[in-house]
Amino acid sequence: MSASRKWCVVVNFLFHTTDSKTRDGDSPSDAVSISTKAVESLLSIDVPQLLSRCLGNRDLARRLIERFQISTSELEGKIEKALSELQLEEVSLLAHRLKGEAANLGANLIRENSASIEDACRESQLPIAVGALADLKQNNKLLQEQLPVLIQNVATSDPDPKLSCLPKRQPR
Amino acid sequence: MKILIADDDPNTIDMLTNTLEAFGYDVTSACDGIEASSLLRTGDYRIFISDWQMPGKTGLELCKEIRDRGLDNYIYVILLTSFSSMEGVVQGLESGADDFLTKPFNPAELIVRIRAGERIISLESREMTIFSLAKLAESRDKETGDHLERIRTYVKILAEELSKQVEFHDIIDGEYVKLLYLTSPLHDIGKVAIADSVLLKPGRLTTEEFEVMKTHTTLGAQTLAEVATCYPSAGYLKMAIDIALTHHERYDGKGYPNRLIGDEIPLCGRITAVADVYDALTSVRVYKDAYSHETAVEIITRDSGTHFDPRIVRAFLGCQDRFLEIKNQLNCETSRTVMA
Repeated sequence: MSASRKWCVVVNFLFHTTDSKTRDGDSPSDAVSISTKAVESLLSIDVPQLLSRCLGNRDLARRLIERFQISTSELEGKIEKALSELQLEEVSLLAHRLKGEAANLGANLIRENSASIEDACRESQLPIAVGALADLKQNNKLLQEQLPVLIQNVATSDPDPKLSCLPKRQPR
Repeated sequence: MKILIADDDPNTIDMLTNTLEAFGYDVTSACDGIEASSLLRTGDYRIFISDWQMPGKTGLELCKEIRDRGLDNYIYVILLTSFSSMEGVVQGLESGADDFLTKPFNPAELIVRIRAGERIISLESREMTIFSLAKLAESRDKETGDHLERIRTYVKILAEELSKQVEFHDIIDGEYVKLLYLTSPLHDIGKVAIADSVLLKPGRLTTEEFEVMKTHTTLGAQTLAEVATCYPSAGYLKMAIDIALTHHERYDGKGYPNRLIGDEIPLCGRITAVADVYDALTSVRVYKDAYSHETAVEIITRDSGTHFDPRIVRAFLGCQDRFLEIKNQLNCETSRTVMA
């Protein structure tokens, strides 16, 4: 089952479960909380982590996701073209860039796919690079599909407490 | 503190800027190596965060460019990278980077690394500022030559020797020696306020003139104390004040300005007194020729317990050879007749 198909099935299941729980007497907020946590774990971007990196600035997080969605598609296209022309060094540089962007956003699957493409091209392992590109395309498709949910999640999620411990501000 | 960020990924720039601005930094960004290079040339930035791979010039090339230019003001460079291999770290450090930040960056880590950079920059600025101030005071009295360079070296040698004595173990550590080396050149800072007619007078001073000259201790301490009030975090000024105020006190209580006795005189003042007198004795002055090292040692030994703390004189006798080496290295115009 493709990643995007899995996502659709899981979302339908979650909404169904949420409805049942609400009907069975759980408070709607509990149900929403349960489903929010579950949805978060399936998203292409680790939103709580991103919110922490943005120091809780939700507008910034939303802008970054929207920009990343465009950038990922552009880079995916460039990687595919360069790979078809066997320009492995160029592919490696593009994949390196996507890896960095994905890492900062907390887009872990896209980061892993980019890292595989980069490593495979540095070692001239063309079949591995082609396979990793196919995975990247699937995960990018998932990212595009999830955009509305991701944006909604930015508004409702809490920053990851593990990344939220900051040094004290000093007087300047 | 102005920080320059260079990265071709606008998302990285926005995230870094958001964190740095939240902590009160003034941030400028460049989207490629060429723009970063031209902004660095303005001299406005002391901290530079650069992506490794960028169009125009890479982070490594920018690092090399900064170090090759040998700028007066040190620029602290942090390389931002997705590399985590040892090879990458070595390459970065060789090109002149000071630190690394790996993507994805953690805001807390970013801030503590920036603060480490600020500490290094402030140390450099602090030392330069203090020594320039001291040189300014010294510039009015040309005859003292490399007096400040010698004084700070003498006090360092003395403090290191003293730290070998058990009773000073807990007082004199590496930090104390560093501070003493840093602040001792300010001992005569108050002389900037003494009139030329007194400061530069050839021959002996009258009683009235000597009273005026003595005020350089209180004037220097007052000036430094005012600076310390404005910058309470500058703890090193406390030692500078003590030295300026007490380096003419005598162990027997007959010194000036406050006639302090024995251990009432701060240790840094007692150490500087020995170094200052040794340098005055072995240097030419408008009113006298230079004494030989042996004569200076004799006078300091004679004045142990009266002018000087006997424990410091003992330490001085233990390291007098090094004093002589420094005196000879940092020539103190002994070409004129050396008085026996």
